Amino acid sequence: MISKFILKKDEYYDSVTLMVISKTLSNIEGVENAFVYMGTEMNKDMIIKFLPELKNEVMDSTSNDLMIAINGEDSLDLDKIIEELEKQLKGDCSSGETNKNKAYKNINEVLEDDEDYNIAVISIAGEYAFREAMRALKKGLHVMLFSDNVSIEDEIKLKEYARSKNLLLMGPDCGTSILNGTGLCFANETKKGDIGIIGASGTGIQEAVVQLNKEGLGISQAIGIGGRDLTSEVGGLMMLSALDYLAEDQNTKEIVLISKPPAQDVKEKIIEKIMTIDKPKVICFIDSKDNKELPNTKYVNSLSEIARVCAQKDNKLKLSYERLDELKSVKSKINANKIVGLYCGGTLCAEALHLLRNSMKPIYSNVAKNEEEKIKQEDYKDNVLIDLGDDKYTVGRAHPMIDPSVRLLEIEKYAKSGNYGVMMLDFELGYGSNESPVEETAELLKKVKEENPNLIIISYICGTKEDYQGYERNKAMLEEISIIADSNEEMCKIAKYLLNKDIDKE
Amino acid sequence: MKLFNEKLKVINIGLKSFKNDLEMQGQKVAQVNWSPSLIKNIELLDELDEFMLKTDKIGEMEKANKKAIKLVLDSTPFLVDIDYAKNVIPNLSSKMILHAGPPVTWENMAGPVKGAMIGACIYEGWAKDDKEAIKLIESGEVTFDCCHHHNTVGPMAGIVSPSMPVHIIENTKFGNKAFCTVNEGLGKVLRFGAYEESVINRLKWIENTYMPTLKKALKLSGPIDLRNITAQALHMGDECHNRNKASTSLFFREIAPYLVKATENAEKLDEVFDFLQKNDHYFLNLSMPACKSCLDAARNIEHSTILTVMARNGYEFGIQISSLGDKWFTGKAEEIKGLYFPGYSEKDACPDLGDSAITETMGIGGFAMAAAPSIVQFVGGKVEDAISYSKSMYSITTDINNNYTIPNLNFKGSSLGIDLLKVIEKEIRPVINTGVAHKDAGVGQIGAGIVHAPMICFEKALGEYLKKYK
Repeated sequence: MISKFILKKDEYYDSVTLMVISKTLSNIEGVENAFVYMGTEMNKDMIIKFLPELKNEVMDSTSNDLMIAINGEDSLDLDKIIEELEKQLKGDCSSGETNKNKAYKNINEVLEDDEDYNIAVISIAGEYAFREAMRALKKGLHVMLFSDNVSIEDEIKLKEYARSKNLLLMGPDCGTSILNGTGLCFANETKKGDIGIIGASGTGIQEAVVQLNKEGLGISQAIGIGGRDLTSEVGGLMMLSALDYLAEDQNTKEIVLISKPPAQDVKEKIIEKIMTIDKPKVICFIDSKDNKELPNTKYVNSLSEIARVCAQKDNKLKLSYERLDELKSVKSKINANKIVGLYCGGTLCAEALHLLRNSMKPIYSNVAKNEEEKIKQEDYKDNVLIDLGDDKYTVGRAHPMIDPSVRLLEIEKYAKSGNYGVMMLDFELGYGSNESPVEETAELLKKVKEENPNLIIISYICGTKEDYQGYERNKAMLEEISIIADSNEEMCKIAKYLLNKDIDKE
Repeated sequence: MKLFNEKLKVINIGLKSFKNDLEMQGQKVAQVNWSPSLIKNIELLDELDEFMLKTDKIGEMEKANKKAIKLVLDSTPFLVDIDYAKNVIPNLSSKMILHAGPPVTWENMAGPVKGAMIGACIYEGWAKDDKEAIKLIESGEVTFDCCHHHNTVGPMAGIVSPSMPVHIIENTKFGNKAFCTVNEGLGKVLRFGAYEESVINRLKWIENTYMPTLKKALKLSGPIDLRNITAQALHMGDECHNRNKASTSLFFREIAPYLVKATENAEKLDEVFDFLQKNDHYFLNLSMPACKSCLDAARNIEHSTILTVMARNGYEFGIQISSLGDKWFTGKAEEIKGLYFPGYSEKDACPDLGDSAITETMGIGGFAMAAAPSIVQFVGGKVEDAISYSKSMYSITTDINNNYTIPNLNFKGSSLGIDLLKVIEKEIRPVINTGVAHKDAGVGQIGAGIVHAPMICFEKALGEYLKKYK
């Protein structure tokens, strides 16, 4: 324990200021006691009570003097602390502009200060989100409802009310929208163009935007409608509104729909609506069957095919000659025949399942709808595709797009098992994602590759050159340790090739 | 769809990272740090929404509130006299003790209140010591009641017994009166539950020396204009609840010449001046009954949703609404957030205590924090925090009080007339500055800080109001 006493003669400060400063000092780690008081008898007695070793020095103070007494662990830099304190005493003159960083308690407070808002982004716990969303709609704001765990009844109430007021209700559980060039929640930076997207899934929209960007195509709007919009109960309420909006929007010349297959009755409503829209349409209902032919409408089988169709290129994805060369050289290393996909993006995982199920049978996934494809138990022996953003993995932790730690554990486990020849990993760039999405994982992968040279890692970075994290920078981190695919679809195709599956068969 | 061509102007409710991303994209964002609604009873809110559609009922309410406010604004509180409680406080029986806050049982009384009750019994001569006092109280021979039921207010424990001197404040415009004891000063005092010999002696001194002196002085000076002193003090750094230095000084300046004239005995005068000089909060015990007398003028106005009382007893917080008469709407008194004197912390604290929230009900005290920025340091805030507390109170009040202007708000009048409906709609609770008492009797003040009126009081009041007027 060390202690220090400083006397500032004839320096007056009022007691409340001194009390605040004392408290601040006491909170510094390692400080045991901190007293900053005028030298009245009462204050002197108090200091002597706690720091008797300072008695002699303290006794000389008068009530016009400022006493500073501190003690704490030996490692404390007392001089530095006292220096800091003196600065504070000189006057915290920062009157400060608090309005910019002001935090409000509720929507009403915000609007009272300033009426000029047009959208609310809501990411609070689901059980409370309904009320806030309804309040926002009642105030005439569009709503981006990122929160999940909103009941289906509440979703219907919100969407019906939103439609009655010509407002967007994007969600619940809506991860991505891009309105007038601004990304909301998880979104990639891209250029403005004339393709409008309506998506019932976050990473689905992201992948479509990224792939279109690679073809030099930009978007007008991307409207997220939430994962349950196309169920029978909700009846496609937002999908139908969004179709109307994009149909009338001057800047949208082509409309893209992305979702899992809608319920049959909803599908019919969508078809009815589509028939009234002249603009060319591209429909990506992953896993969909019985696609009714519609005027000026193309059906695609994958997210990256959307881009090829819009760019009027050949529908089918082909592995380039450079790619095949790259792959031939690593193929021989493989000595196990199972595949594992560890995904952050749920839709990408679902797309992978769709693209791989025929060649990789039996294959399991936690996003599977079919009984026989559901994961029975994780024993690190089977072909498996895992969506790590699923509730099971995110209890008490952030989503893997923000916090890589859960996936790092799984990577190690799957690699160690020795049963896997190929591991697929997705990385998302853009707003909402981790500032450096690849870095920590790349560190681990280096180690994993050393210990498991026969495991081939394929990565896909879902990002554009405009994303702030830096596409090239992140790609460079993976260069030596992984094959880097240009789309989720290509990643799957590469996996098929490496495991000797027919890459031309769907 | 207009939105497709507009820049986004976003209200972000939840994750701060979304705000940062939007700012990165150069968009306008306001951040709402959301926390669950203070109002637990969602059906009540639906009922309120329905009520708000009844334009005739709303019309009646607005008219009634206007009327109530005018009565408060026109009120003129004067210190006219000082006398024994038993002589002037209505319906005070011979063995009755008054306490601060809403009704409470002996078992539930907070430490300081119990201590002060015991002290009162000893002071009155009903009991020799605490054991005897407790017997009297438990047997019911000594009864107790709320100060507010007798036009009285008391700070902290707020104990008033028949032989205690009370200031008499008259609202001369309307003739109604309010009463409050003499503030004992610092150190071991009854209002914090101390009852040792020095406390009783001081109370006796107030009775035997101070009261007659002040009584004579007031006869000579005439009524002292408390509204005037309050208004000046708000320009001098006081808010007249937790900060009373200026108002006390102004009062002293006004009464001093008459105190001199009223006493031939130099020693007595010395004692009186010493007492006043050492007491930074003397004016609190004038500020409170002044506010009480103004608000009492606005009681019992049908349809009015204006609060006439906010009060605490260390166990519960209670409010009263003009149109709902003497009914109390109570909830658990909250813990005070603030600064503690060395050696003390939250775990030592008594929950919110005292009738002094009558000052906030009147729109001063915590509502006028902008006038007394030094107060906000108690929660480690900055000057603009004091200003923003005051500003936010405007959104739950009905009108502006131009009798009490606040320099830091460009001399805007203080907020006046807490409206029950506005508190519920905006989910903004009245803010109160207060001292913190140690939870054990007799220890005294251990800090000061900021506390809010519990939302449940307003929920209950609203339920009653809607039942009455639907």
